[in-house]
Amino acid sequence: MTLKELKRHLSGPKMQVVVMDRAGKVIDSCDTLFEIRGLRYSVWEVFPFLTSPLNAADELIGTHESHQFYAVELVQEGVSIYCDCELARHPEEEDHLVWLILDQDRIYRELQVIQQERNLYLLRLEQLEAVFSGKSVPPN
Amino acid sequence: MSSTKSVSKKIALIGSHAVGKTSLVSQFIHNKFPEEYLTTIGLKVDKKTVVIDNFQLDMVIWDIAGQDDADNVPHYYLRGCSGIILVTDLSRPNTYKKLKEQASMLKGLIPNVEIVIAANKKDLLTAEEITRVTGEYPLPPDAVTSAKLGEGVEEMFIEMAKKLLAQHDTQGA
Repeated sequence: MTLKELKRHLSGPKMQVVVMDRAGKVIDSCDTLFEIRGLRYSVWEVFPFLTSPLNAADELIGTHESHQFYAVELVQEGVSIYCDCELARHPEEEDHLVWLILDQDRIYRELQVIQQERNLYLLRLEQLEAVFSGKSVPPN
Repeated sequence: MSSTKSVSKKIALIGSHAVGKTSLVSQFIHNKFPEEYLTTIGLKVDKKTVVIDNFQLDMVIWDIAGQDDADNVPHYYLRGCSGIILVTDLSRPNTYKKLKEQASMLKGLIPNVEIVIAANKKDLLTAEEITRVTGEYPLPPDAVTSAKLGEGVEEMFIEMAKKLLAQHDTQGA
């Protein structure tokens, strides 16, 4: 196995590439994470998250910018995966967009536990501050 | 026979952590209150269609992870937003003391945005406490809600929907 093949083998199952037009019609998709190839309607019917970025499609197509969205919870048929998403103009097809989906579910679920602990700690701190400042705060 | 027009609008929920943004969305969309608090990481987008006065409005709702300062929300996340719900917790002054600055910043960022201020967790306070606390708000809340009990939630989103449709009519879009 070459290094390139090894890389593809290790990273392939965690990444999906979708090519679509500016109306959200799927032109092609590798369907690694979500089955959307052959959708008869706009992909934003399945992932409403895309409504807004696709509304900005003209801006994306007109420039060489890309839009990144981190820790997006994508849900299809009850299955939810935390992903990083990037939308950019297709390098060869001017009217098409490329949607890159990177499965970061394990990392973000671990981060969620840490964030949760931090938030609960801050809540307790706020309650303690309220007690010491003489303001009564109902238990949250 | 009247025909139904259709329009789609993006709405974002912004507010400090644990004020109940995700619970409000869950109540509105699924009629469910998640009993266990689970912090939101990043963002989750849902959609609900409401029909008001022959207008079908697709409300695309962006539930953005809690930020103590609205300015910390990546600005391009708010691009294309027609409405913003600023969610606060009636029992935590820290979540509403900067409302004025936050609303002003958001209006500067998105000039025509409709803002609704939600004072959530009314179930934790008595009626007298609610009156006293909402009187301390730098801007008066548009809705006093309890995501836990489902009180005022539907009404708050419908109020936002009506504001967006009124704006849509005014702009002749």
